[in-house]
Amino acid sequence: MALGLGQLFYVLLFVINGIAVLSEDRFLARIGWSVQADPSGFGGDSQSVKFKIINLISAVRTLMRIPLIAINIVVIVYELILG
Amino acid sequence: MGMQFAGNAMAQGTAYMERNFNQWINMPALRHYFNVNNVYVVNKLKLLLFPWKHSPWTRSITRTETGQMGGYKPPREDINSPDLYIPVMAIVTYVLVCGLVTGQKGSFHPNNLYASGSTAVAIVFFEILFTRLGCYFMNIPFEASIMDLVAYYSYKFVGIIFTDLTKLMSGPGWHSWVIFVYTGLSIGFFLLRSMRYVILPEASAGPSTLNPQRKRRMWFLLVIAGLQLVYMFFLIN
Repeated sequence: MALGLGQLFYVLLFVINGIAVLSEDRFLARIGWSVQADPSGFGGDSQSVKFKIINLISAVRTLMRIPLIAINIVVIVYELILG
Repeated sequence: MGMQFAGNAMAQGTAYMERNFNQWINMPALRHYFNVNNVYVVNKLKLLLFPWKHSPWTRSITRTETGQMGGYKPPREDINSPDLYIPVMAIVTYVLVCGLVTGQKGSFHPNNLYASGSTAVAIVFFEILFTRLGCYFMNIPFEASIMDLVAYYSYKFVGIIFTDLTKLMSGPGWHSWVIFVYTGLSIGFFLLRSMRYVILPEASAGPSTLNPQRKRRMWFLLVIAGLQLVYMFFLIN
């Protein structure tokens, strides 16, 4: 298995790209994962797992869009040059 | 006169390097992890390969003069404290053993050394990422340092080296698989006991408080320890 640091970096980049392209109103609201949801809290925990996942997705989308553009450009140029 | 000048220049040069180096790597913390002696290394290796009978798994805490809690005791005085000496040696030895195995097959290439080292580092990095994400999702306050996690997750290379060496010396067969399963289980158990204090921070008196959050954390811990066997399977060649 050609697993190494470079491959791991590519895997992480693709996963974060996938999270970043999720559309808020076309997809997440449809399946009930929009951010401003559920003011009625879940029983014992203050923050359940689902709430945290929703927050993480929206944080990734807000924060990482612009750095992701830059990283993607760098990776594309690298792949074009070095094949 | 000339020697004084040279000594002065050397002192200034080292001071400049220290200033710039300390910004990147936290030296006193690293020094704590490399503060080992021979007795600790031997006992820790024995513990990694036979952790079933060891009884107190808590780390000792140093106390300052006013009785407040300082940091943890260094590995020299506490066998339960994670160190970085064994992990560094284990990863280097793992890369060398990989080279040895491919050399015995006759297909050695110096590129392979880099590939196996990179795989080892990538797996440790991925485990650390997985643990941090899991702690975020389960609201576990994460107090241990990242160096602790690096140390804990690199201990499995000791088991991998052991399995590879037996495979090298006595050929592949069912006995090397037995040794692989045994070392996998012992490292999994070791990690279970050691990470328990990182992931379940409440001092548990017993399974009396079995609320779903605690059960989820226990499952998470079991998954971490169980995945060690999977990673070891991929790292053995």
